[in-house]
Amino acid sequence: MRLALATLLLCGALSAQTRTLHIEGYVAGKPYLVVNKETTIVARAGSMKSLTVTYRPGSEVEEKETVKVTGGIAMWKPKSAGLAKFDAMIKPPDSAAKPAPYSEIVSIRFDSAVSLGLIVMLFAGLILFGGAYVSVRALLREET
Amino acid sequence: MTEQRAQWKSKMGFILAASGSAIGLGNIVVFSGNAYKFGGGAFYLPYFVALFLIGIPVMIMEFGLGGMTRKSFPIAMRQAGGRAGEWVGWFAILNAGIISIWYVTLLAWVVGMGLGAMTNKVFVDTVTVDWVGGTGAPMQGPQGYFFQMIAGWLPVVCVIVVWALNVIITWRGTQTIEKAVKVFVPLMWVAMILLVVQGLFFLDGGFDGGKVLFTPHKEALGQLSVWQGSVSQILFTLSLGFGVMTAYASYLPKKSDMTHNAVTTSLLNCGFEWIAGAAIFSILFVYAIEPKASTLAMMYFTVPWGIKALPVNHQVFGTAFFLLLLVAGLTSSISLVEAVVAAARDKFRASRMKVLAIVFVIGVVGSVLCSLPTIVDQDLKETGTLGLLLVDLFGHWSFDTGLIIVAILECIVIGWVMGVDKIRAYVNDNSRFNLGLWFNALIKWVIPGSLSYILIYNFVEYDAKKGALYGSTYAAKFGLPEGPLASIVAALPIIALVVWVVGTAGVALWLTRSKGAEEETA
Repeated sequence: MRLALATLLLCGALSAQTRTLHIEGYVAGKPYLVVNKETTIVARAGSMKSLTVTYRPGSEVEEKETVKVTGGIAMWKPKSAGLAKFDAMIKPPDSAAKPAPYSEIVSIRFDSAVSLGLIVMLFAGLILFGGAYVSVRALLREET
Repeated sequence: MTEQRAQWKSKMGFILAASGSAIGLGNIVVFSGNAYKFGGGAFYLPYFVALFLIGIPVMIMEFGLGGMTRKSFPIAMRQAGGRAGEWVGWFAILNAGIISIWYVTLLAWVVGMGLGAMTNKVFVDTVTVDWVGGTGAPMQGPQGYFFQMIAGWLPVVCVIVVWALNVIITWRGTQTIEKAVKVFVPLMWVAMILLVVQGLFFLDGGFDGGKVLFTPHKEALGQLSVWQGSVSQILFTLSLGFGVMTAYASYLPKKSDMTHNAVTTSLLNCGFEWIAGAAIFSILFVYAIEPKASTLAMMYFTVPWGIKALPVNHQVFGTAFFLLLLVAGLTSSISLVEAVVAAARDKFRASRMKVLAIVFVIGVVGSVLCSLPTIVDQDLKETGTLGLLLVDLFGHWSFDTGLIIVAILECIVIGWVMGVDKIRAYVNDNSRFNLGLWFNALIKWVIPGSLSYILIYNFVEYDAKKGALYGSTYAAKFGLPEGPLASIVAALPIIALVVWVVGTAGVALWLTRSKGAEEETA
């Protein structure tokens, strides 16, 4: 109840772009998609004690960010698009229980249509398929 | 009377066969994992550097050797570097033989997963794997189904089926191979194009996934592991160091443009990888699944888990995906088989049927061993079954280590012993694009130097750092009760190394010393 109220209050206080992300475990067909640079409320049933976000988890270019948690929820503004991993300590609703670690992967979408990724994708595609096209065309010409 | 060497009916047939050999399981599932791991778009810079400075030159060299000698790899290498060269050739072919053995096991597991997808068993939420942890453990559907399947006898049946398919396709050499690749390779392209269109344009957020995969993280460029990863990716993805490309090129007319052939094959392979990376990563991104830089994990767990989340008929889509893997794997495995068959026939002038029969028997026995369902790692800390353990051990030696050794040695034999000018002159005589002196520098210095660095890096990273032989820590982790099985598992890492060394280097020495049909005639 307290969590829901806090979430509602925070939602009201923030701009219309704010979205709430309940990290409750993976649900097939309902992926978590948040948008880069858009303030997102991270919440979970129970009380969240801490939240660390790892951008590009499992890669050679991982980057960690500790997000401040207030009243069991966190205000998070993604720094870059891509996959990110939440590592949170959650205190279950049963007050006697100790906080337990919880992890979840989320996808952060781009905030604009054009990005450096798109340019690299097109450039790499152009080299590979442009080259292959010229090569195969020459081959077919020889065959006929 | 000398037997007329078989030839490809068309250049396109050769290109399809060579690119089909290069495009395999790794292209479809592991590229996206590697690109993600090594800095996204930034990975493309070292990848292209490796492609143009290592991949394409080595392929020109292997094609050139086949075209110039019109012999399979060991015999061509003997002409290039005498007995030492022939030994390198046999070492490569025997390595390819060992790789084909565990590769067919991977394909047998693909068939098993395909059957599971067909009956929807792969796509349930959780599967309780009754042997894991002693009392059974619930796992995500694909992962659970996979471990349940490999601990049964179905893969053994599938191994026989996959080997039979290999023999049927290579039955009449280029004639049957060309027929098969003319169906299989276009089929792979169509399936992958459908997958990428679906992933990028029909999944909400899918296009962002494609952009994420290609977004460069420039800090990656300063890391040696990223450069090492890209060189390995290129070497393995182009099927170099197997002797396959030399065998295939030996069936071309002598006056063939090998530079053009190598560039076309490489670009088609890497283009396919580009599409596959975008297709697979778009699905993983939308469903927030972390990719793994491991063929096995991506192929059997991660991508099927992504397919499960797709708003499509899982049975149809999943079965089609595993069929695509099987087809891509077959076009690679037949090239490995053909490399072995061509070498044996060139040396001993044996009939194709006889050589194929021997390859089939040895192959089935080896692949059955690699699919043995005996459980050795009940808690799944490293592997699982005895078969999976053998795949891991032999994969490490024959693929991760053996291919790099072959590539270094062939550069030394051709670059220093034979003289790279001879290959360059032959290639230039028939090519529209002339190779300059830079080609000599690459073959003599740059490629053996960079590959030697990777070999040492891998040894330090995976073997020396752990202070033990690869795989020797497994037995302690598995916690098997004392008995014959525990003793076998403890001894397997050393047995695998000895079998690999004797089976490749030792047998290569014996084959090099054996008199071939030509010498006996002389």
